[in-house]
Formats: sequence, C-alpha cells, structure tokens
Amino acid sequence: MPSRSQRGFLLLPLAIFVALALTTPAAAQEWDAPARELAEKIIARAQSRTGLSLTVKNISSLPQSRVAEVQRALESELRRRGVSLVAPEQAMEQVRVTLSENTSGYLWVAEIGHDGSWEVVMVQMPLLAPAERAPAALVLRRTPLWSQPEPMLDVVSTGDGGLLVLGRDSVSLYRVQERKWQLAGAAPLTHSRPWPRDLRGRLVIQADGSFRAYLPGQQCPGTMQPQLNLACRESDDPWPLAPEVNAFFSSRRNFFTGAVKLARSSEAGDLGPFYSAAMFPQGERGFWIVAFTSGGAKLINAQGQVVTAFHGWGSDLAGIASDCGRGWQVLATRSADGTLPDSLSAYEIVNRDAVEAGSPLEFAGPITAMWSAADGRSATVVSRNLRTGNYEAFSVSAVCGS
Amino acid sequence: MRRSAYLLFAAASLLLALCPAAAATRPRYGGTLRVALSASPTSLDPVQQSVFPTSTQEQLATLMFDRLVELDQQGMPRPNLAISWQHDSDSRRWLFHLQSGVLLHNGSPLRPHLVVMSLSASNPNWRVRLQGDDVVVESGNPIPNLLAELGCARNSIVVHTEAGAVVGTGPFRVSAWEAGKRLVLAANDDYWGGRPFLDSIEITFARSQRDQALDLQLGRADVVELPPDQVRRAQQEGVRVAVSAPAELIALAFSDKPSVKEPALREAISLSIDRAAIQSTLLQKQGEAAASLLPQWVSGYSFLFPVTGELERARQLRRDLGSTPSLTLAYDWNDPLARAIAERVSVNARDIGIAIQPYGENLAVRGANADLRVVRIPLASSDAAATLSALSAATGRQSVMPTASPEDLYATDRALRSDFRLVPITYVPQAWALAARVRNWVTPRQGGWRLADVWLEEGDKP
Amino acid sequence: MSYRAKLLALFTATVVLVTALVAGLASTSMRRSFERLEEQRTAELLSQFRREFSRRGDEVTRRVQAIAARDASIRMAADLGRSSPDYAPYVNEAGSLAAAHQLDFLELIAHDGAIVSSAQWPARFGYKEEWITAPVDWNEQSAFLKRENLADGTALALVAVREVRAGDSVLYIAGGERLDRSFLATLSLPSGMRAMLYLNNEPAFSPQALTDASGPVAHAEKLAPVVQQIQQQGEQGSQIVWWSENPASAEAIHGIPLKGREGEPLGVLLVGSSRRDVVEMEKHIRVVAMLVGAAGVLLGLLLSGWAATRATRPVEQLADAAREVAAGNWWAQVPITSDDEFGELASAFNLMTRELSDQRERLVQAERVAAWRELARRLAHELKNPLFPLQITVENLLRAREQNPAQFEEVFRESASTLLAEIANLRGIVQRFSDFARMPAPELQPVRLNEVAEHVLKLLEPQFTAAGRAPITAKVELDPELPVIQADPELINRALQNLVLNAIDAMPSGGSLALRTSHRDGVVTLAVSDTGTGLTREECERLFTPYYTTKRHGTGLGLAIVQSVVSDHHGKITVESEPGRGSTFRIELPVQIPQTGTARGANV
Repeated sequence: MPSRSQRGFLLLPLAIFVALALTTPAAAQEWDAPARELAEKIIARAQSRTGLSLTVKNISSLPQSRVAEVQRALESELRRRGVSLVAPEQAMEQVRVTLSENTSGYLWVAEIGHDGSWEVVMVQMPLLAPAERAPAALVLRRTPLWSQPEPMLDVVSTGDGGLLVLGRDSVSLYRVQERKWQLAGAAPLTHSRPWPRDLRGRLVIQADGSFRAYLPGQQCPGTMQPQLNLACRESDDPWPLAPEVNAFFSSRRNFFTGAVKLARSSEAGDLGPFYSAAMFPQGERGFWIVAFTSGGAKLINAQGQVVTAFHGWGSDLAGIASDCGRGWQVLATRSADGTLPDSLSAYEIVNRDAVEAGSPLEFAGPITAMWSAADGRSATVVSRNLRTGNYEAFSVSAVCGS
Repeated sequence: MRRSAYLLFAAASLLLALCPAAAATRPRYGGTLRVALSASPTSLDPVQQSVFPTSTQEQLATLMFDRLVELDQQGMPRPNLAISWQHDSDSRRWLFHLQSGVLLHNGSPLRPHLVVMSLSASNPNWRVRLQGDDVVVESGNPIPNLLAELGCARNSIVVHTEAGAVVGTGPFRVSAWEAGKRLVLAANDDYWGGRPFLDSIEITFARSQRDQALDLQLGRADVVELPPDQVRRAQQEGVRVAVSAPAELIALAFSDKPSVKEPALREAISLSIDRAAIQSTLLQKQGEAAASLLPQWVSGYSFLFPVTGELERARQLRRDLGSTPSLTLAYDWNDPLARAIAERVSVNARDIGIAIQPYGENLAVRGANADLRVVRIPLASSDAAATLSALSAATGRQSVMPTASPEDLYATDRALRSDFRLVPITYVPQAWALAARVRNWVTPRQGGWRLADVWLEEGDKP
Repeated sequence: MSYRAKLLALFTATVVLVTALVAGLASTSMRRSFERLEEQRTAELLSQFRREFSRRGDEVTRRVQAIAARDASIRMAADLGRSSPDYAPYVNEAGSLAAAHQLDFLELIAHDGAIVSSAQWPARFGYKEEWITAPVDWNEQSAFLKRENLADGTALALVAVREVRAGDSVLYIAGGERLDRSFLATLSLPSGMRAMLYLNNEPAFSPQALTDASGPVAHAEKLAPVVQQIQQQGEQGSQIVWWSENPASAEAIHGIPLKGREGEPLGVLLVGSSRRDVVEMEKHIRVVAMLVGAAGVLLGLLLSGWAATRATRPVEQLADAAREVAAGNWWAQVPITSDDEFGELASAFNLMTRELSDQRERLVQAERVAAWRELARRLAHELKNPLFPLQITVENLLRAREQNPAQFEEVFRESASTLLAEIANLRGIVQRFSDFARMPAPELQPVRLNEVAEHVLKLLEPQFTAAGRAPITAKVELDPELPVIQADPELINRALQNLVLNAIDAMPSGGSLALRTSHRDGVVTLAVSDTGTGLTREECERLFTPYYTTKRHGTGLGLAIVQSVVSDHHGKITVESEPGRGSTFRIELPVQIPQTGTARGANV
C-alpha cells in the first residue's frame, strides 16, 4: 500500500484525466460570433442607436447560468457598436431577444419594436458538442438482460449473441437456440475461503473473446469456446474500475480498498476505501465521483481534493456516456437499505453541483450490483425483485427526448 | 366514453403489474404484433395520397418501404438505402450511392432504375437519372434540403408492378390486405438491415378509440392509439404510454366556396380562435398551441405568433365585413378530438358574430360541401424546410424550397399563412398505449414508430 | 181561432215552452257543470304540473347535492382554489357525472364564474357564467327554471345549484333536467287533455317553439294570441280555439307563464282541454230535447186537445145552445155536467134561455099584439082608404037612386066601376097580407147570385131614369168567382128587388146605387148601397119589423120579406147607414145550407 505522501504524488498523474476546473464554466467566446451577428442585425433594423432597451428570455435548453453569459455578450456587442441601452420604461425602441431552440440547434430571435410594429431577425447557432448542451429531457432506459432466482453479480454480453452470467457459485453461458435462451454451459466458481457477505464480482470480456471473472480474492479467467471453461485462482489483482484504471478490491469485504493504478503503468494512487467510483477521462475534464465507505459520494478533482459531497446517494455509482445533455452522466442508487426498492438517478455535474437529469428509474427491489459497461455508454445493473425474489439484470443507458 | 377508456387503460396496466417478471430478457424473435388504428386507408401507396397525407399512411410506409435517407431524432440525415451522397456547391445536383444487395419483397433485386422511377414519380420537378449504379437528382433550383425531402414518407422507394400492386424493400412485406379494414405484414427475412424480431404485424383499421382501449385491455391488441388529451390521465393511471414531440398539425382548411372567399372573413375566424385554451384544456396541455405551420421544436420561432385570440381585431374585421353567411365546419366523425376542436372553434367564432355549424363527416365518403374543415397534417419531416415545402405543395401552391435560414423559413411560414387558407390551431403529439409484452418501443420525436426494432415478451401472451 | 184551438195552442205552447226551458236549463246546467269540471281538471292538471315541477326540482336538487357531496368534488374544489388552477384535468368531468347522475345539464363552475366543464356544451369551457357569482346562498336555493344555451339552440331547464367549499375556494355545481316534451309525457293527463310547452321569448310568435308530448303542435299559430297575452301580462290566460269548421274541434286552452329565478319570462305552459265532449253533449242534449220536446209537444197536443176538449165542451155546448137560440130555438138547454164555473154557466145559460124564452114568449105575445095592433092599424089604414071611396060611392049610388034615378044607370056604372076598383084594391091589400102570411118555403137549387143581381137591375133599370125623378146611376161590382149557392131564385129575386126598390125610394133626389157581390169563407155577400137619405140607428133597429116603414106609402113588409127570405136561406142581413149619406144592406148567404131544421118566423 503506497504511503500517504506517495498517494498525494501519485494523484498528480491523474491530472491527465482531469478536465479543466469544473468551477470554470465554458468561455464566453462561443457566444461571441452569434452575439455579434445578432447585434448587427438588430442595429440594421433599429431606427436609432440610442434609447434601446434589451430584454432576454430563455425558452431553450440552455441553463440559466449560460443565459446570463449570452445576455452579457449581446449587450457588449451592442454597446461596442454605439448602442446605448436604457431601461424599458425609458426606451424609444424595445428589443426582445428570445433564446429559442429547434432541431438545428439554438435559435436566437430578436424582435425590434417601434411604433407598435415589430421586426424579427434571427441567428441560428449550430448544434453544439454534446458536452455543451444542457440536460435535455433525459430518460434512463432500462433493457432487461437476464433474470434468475439465484443471485447475480454481473452480466455481460459475449459479443456473439451470448450472455455470460456471473453468479455466486458459477459462471453460466446462455445462447439463443431455437429461439429460446438455452444454457450453453456453466462452470463452477472454486474458492477456498468463504465469500464475503454482500458478495460482489465482475465479468470482463477480453479482446480475444475470453473472459475473466473478478471476485474478492479470486480471479477466474475463462473461455467460452469450444465450451465454457473456467479456471479460478486466488488473486488480489486489481479489478478494472474504469478504462485504463484498475482498483484493488478487498478480499474479505465488499469494497475497493482505495488503491488505484493505471492499467498500463505502475503509477498508483489511493482514494480511500470506496464502494464504487465513476470516472470521466474524456476530453479536457477529468474527475472522480467516489462513493466512499465512510458514507456519501464525493467529487474529487484531479488534485485529489474533495470538491463537493453529494448527499442522499447510495453506494453504487457508474458513469455512462450519452448523447444527452453534457454527454456524460453518473448513475447513482438511492440511499436505502436492502429491504426497500431502489431507484437509479442520473446526474450531471454542473458547476460542482450534481444536477439530476431526467426522472429516477425505479426498481422492484434493491440494486445489488452496478457496473459501467465496457463501451462506457451503459451500465449493467442487477437488482433483487422483492416481490418475486428473482435477481434481475438490466442494461441502463441514457436516451434523449420526451 | 373517455373516462371509461381511462379505466380500460388502467386495467391494462394492472395486468402488467400482475405479470411475473420474465425469465428471459434479451430481444426475442417471433410473435405477431397486433395494432389497432382508427384510420381506414384505402391504399398502401405512400405516393397516392390525399391532399393532406395522414400519419397512418406515413407509418405504414415505414414498414413496407425504405427511403434513401432517414432522419434521426435531431433531424440529421442518416444513410438508409443510400449509403453516401454528394452534392455540388449550390445543391442543384446530388449524387447518391445505393446500398447493394437490397431485395424487393417479390425477391427481385432493387435496381437503381427502379429508384429513379420511384423518385421521378413522386417529384415531377426533379430530374432524376442514373449514373452508372448511382442515382443523380438535379433541379433547376437549389435543393439544399434534399436529404430531408428524401427522408419523407412520400419519397419512399415504391415499385409498381404491372398488375398495379406496390412493392417495397422494407422490413415487412404485405401478407394480406383488406383495404380500409385489415393489413397483415410478414417479416422480410431477407431485409438488408436485419430481419425484424417480429414474425408479423396485424393491423386492424377503423377501430374507434373505445374499441382500441377494449382491445388493449382484453389482450386483442398490443399497440393502440392514445388520443393526446388522454395521455396525462393514462400516465397517471399507470398505462404504458409512448409519446412523441408535437408532430401532427391540427388546422382549419378553408374551401374554395364563395362563402369563404373573403380573406378578411378567414382572418377574423383565425383571430377568434383561443388556441391556448384548446391546448391547455382540450389537449390537457399535451402538444403545443400552433399559430405557425411548424411546431416550436422544429422551427424555434413559433413562439413569435400569439396563440391567444385577438378578439378585438377579429370583431373589427367582422364589422367591416357587414353580414356574413352561416358556415359549415366538417370534422372526421371518428375523431373526438377533431370534434371537440371544431365545437370550440364554433364557440369562439360566435363571440365575434360569425355562425359556424360543425358537423361530422365520414372521410371515406366525404363530399365537398363544407365551407371549412378540421384537418390533421402529420409533420412531414423534422426538417423545417422539408415540412414547409410539403405543406405548400399540399395546399396547392407551387412547391417552395426555402433555405435552411430561419429567417427564410419564418418568412415562408408567414407567406403560406398570409391568405388564411390554412389556419393552424395546435400541434399534437403522437401517443401510443402499449401492452406489457411490447419491448423496445421507440417513438421518434417527429412521431411514427420503429416496429422493426420491437419485440414481444413471450410470457405476456394472453 | 176557436177557444179550443186557443187552449190547444196555449197548452201546446206551454208544453213546448216548458220542454224548451227544461232542455235549455239542462243544457246550460250540463255545460256549466262540464265547464266547472273542465276548470277543475285544468286546475288539477296545473296543480299536478306544479307538484311534478316541485318533485322534479327536489330530485334535481338531490342529484346535484350528491355530486357536490362527493369527495372528488371537494378535492376538485381544493385543486381549483390554488393560485394558478389547472382546469384541464376536469374538462370532461361534467359529461360523465351528468350521465352517472341522470342529469341533462351539468356544469362545474369555478369561483370566478368560469366554466370548468360543461356536459351540455363541452366546448364552452373557460367562458363565464356571470349569474352564478351573484351573492346568493345557493345551498339554500331550491331548483328553478332557467334557459340553457346549447350549441344548437336553447332549452328550458330545471336547474339546481350547490356550492362546494374547500377552504376559501368555492366550486359551483349547476345541474338540471331538460323541460321538454318528454317532461310533458310524464304528466298523467285525463283523456281529452294535453299539455304543451312554448319555449320562445321573442316578441314574434314562433310556431316551431310550441310542442306537446308528441312533438310540434300542428296549426300552432292559432294559439299565438293566448301565448302572447300570457307573455305580455305575465299571468294566466285562456282562450278557446277552433281547430276546424267542426265545432267539436274546439279546445279550451289555459296557460301559465314559466318564470325564472328572478321572475324573467322563460316560456308558457299550456293546457288544452278538448271541448268535443261538451259540444257533443250539447248536441246530444239538443237532440234529446228536441225528441223530448217533440214527444212533449205531441203529448201536449194530445193532452191539451183532451183538456181543451174537456174544457171547451161545456163552452161548445153553450155555444151550440146559443146558436140554437140564435137560430130560433129559444128553449135550447145546456146539460149541466159539473158543479164548477162551467156548470154555473150552463145553469145560468139555461136560466137565460128559459127567461129569454119566456120573455120571447111575452115579447112575441107583445109583438104579436103589437103586430096585431100594427096590422090592425095598417089594415085599418090601408082598408080605410079604399073603404072611404066605397062608402062615398055607395052613398052616391043611394043618392043617385034617390035623387037622380035617370042618371042612376050612369052613376051606377061609374060607381060600380069605382067600387070594383076599390074592391080590387082591397083585394090586393088582402092578397099582400095573405102572401106575407103565406111566405113559401124556399125551393133550393143552384143559383148564381150574379145572374140574379143582373136580372133585378135590368128589370128595375127603367126606374133609375124614370120621368119626374132625378136620375140614379147604377154601379155593379160582381165577383166573377162568386160560387153557386143553394137558394130559391124566386125568393132571392123578390128580396133583391125589395132592396133595390127601397134604395130607389131612398134617393128621391137621385144618386148612386151600387150592387156588389163577394164571397169569403163559404159565405157569399150581396150588398146594396145607396147614397140616399140614410137611416138613423133607431130606424135601423126596427127596420126589419113587419109593417115598419119610413116611407109615407107602403106596407112596410118589403124588408120583412127580405129578412124572412134571408132567414129561410140561413143567411143574415145587416144594414149600415148614416143619415144623409146613404145605406148599405148586406145579405150574407151560406154557400151550403146546413141540413138542420130551419127556424122560421111564425106564420102570421
């Protein structure tokens, strides 16, 4: 276990995954061009450059904080062109700007009114990158994967139409035969020590088509061809936590120890014991949201500093990418015990705040496992149906629209 | 009737709750999806349409026919039968490379010349020709929105046989067809995009809303239409509901009769309509009140047009007209929403002294007697220019192809409405109530369905 | 007209009058009874309407109250009481509630009067019903009439309003039932009655607005006057309407105004009561009355005939006796058959005839004595005249024989001739008296009186223009249609001659003589008129007394003979005269002489 000083040092490389400070909103430069264009159009229609009032209203998906930016940009452009803005009650002409939106992107509409008549000018902003888009109407979509009475720890698609299910005692392979899912093979999980209570495990399909089952103190590499084959061994090798990031899992417990390391290097760090973590390495942003064993979830920046704590979240987190909103969301369970139905909420981190996107996805029982899928665009969620007692595995992703 | 429909839908949702969780959860092949619709189409040819194509005709077209491109949720064109395309700098000449190995339902390959024939038939203003195995579309005027146009149902690739039948390349083929009554589609096993999960789709037409709700409750249908004014209550009752964005325009279409030839009369009627009240009350806040031809989510500028009535101006126009005849307003007697809107329009017009008598008519035997009628026009495309172009063609004007410039669209929208021949009232979403066994239902934003991706849960079969 | 006929007529008239009176009274009484009955039925029907209206109103109130008492209504009121209420979820509530509670009209109205949901006109959501926000405690109000505006017109409704309060918020529930012909159909009407509703407040009468239980009323314009009267005055009114020419088609129409909560006129309820029964009853009464009347008249005729006969028999007997007396049977007696007035009258008559007979006897005796005396006087007078010359002659003869026997032969011959002449005169006088005493009985045969008259005139015509006399003009007016009579032509001739001679004698200064014949009622009349000196009344009374004469000469038997002849012919002779103006003698003779014994004058 690296020392604390090493942890701090080791956290520095994590800066490669860190985005620019979340507290630093996107620069106003992106509004400059459209603001300029709109201002020129307004001035071309206005009868004079004095005695103009400007009001801005937002009916688009732009967050309110960005609206202020747009308004500042517009005012700046108008003043730069010699327009003096006054209060509406003193204005000779009124300019009403509405930040609207259509399928092509944002549409800024300016109405210039004088003598009771109004002229309209518009500026279309092209579709922004998904990260720039405020949470549109996001819906968590749940696709059932598997259901069985026995506990499941993880479920993955084999890529060739099969389904690999990790249970407490075995790994099972199912394939569609005669239009039905049929058990194509099962291999027992061998372990010398008892499993920890609240057993957790993970399945990962390797690039060569083999797979590996990760369990506390055990790792079980296996193959599916020609038939399912598993070879378990004791191991404390780290589990894949995020692309290129592995984390060590306690062999006797149900949490990660906190030690993390890069997949292709020996660089490591320590987050502290946690149950789950979501990491977003794409783009210039990089941060962690970690559900610590001490309770609650925290946002950790590239410097390893706790930026924000989120309350009311459960212990299972998974990060997914989507086409909605900012393009990435963290899925979090609700803070509740295993006797109550769970729900999954999607959040986007906006200015260090977790903004819930969409409505929570309710489950018929507690969520017992959640892992980000290999492609990062969905999460595999296992819950126990309190009514039937079955374990149900779902693939949860975020979709946009009403 | 509507209250009992809610109860029926609620009962269906209870059925859902009582069903045990399925054991298998991956998409399942097989099964027959049963759909009940209120429309009674008499033709499967998407090109042979009435003045205003119905959403049903467009939805059916997506099952049996393919288009060169498809528009995604953002209105962006995606390859379909055309895998790629190019165009010149002023968008007058477009070249499309076609998917290979596409078979028609009769087993014969889809040759490029058939694509040319189909596009030429539906677009006389274009010059469509072959260039090798590619298709070239040329026009004297720039057609920057050609891709959106090609994504419209009316530009489905339809092959007419010598016997007069229509053949397509879509994921489903016609197995049985009784015009206006029933359509059975079978999965196209050789579909180039992958065989659909469903074995077949059975569509029953001319089912009233009440009958559709009964069908759903009794397990006789898996998918039924849900009127937009019942969406909210159905959701509260736990019915499984899929709703699109506002995708169908409900408008008043004035005839050419002398009684309504006066533009001021049409304008007065238009100004008298309290669209906000219709949308908030009759539609239970579903959809959006429409004072422009495009919904807000497509145009971005629709908010500029007031949706509340301008009674004073309407009254002034009415006074200037002097005496006005009593007018007749027709609506589809199978459409309770159209009836409610027609009656509301009549009440609003009475406020300004214009007498309008609504009456229901059978669309199948519609006469040309009404002075004006309530029409429903599905959104031709999520592309604004393509939709306005289709509307201008449908209203008898020379087809306009506005640029994508919002100001150009705004001006075209206003121009198309300037004579008040087509008076928008509201945009309504398309909504479906689904049985529990229906899986992977996706409602595109602009309405319609993607039945090729739907599968049925075996355990939920009645 | 005879007394019997009068009695008969009187009795008959009495019977007819009484019958008619009874029939009329019965008819009037029946009609009034019927009209009273009809009024009672109408009042009962109107009362029934009011009761039914009240019952319906209570029922409507109860149903509206049930809607207001629902928990869902209270939740709705609370929901709509928010600062920005959403009416949309409730826009279709009224329709289903109305159906469930069997109301034709139902509106859910927010605190500001805006319609949240309307069952009868769903498209009117959002519009204001200002009347409901009046400062009225609706929960204390009973149901009232109201005009409901509908998409296709208006209707009359019985409406109740209840308030649902949730905190400071109030929701109005206004529900009602339609008052139309189906409501009328629920009224149980007696046969012949019907109820109608007029639902139009325009000044001009609209026939289409008037309906009864089976639909629009035919020829409704005939009810326009009563409807408009009720509308204008706001009070009950009535009218009788004839739907066709047939009187039985009449219908009595009573109407009451239907008013709203504030007394505004909303319509008119009309109750029609067919007058067919009363008309037919009147007709029946008339027929019965006529039959009864006819029977009564017939009976009356019979009874009155019998009664008249019985009543008049004594009178007839009396009359017969009087006629007998007139005919000369002075001893005619009437049988006394009763002790009543008729008996007394008969007794008196008998006494009278006895007295008359006695007096007649005495008078006859006296007249006989007088006649004897008169005859003696006249005889003496008549005889004296020829006797004196006789005496002179005989004395002359004696003297001559004595004094002049030579001339005695001549004197004897002269005297003998004088004696013979005077003796012939005496003989003539005696013959006339003898003739008068021996007037022959008439030998009846058909006689044309006109011919007799013409004959007499012709016979006596020379005397009209006799020398030494002023001329007399004769005028003849004979009835050409004069019937033939049974008479003795000789006697008639003689009588007529006497009259004409008397008329000539009455005109010594000339004049005009008129002879007229006529006939009437079985009696022929011969009138001889002159323009002579005329007669006084006393003279007229004694004129027909034998030997009475006004002439210086004459036997005075002429008119007596005339009277005797007339009497023998069962006729009558009268005279009308006025001194200085002339006289008219009328002889009336029956065409047919009755076959009874003829009382003749006593032979003298």
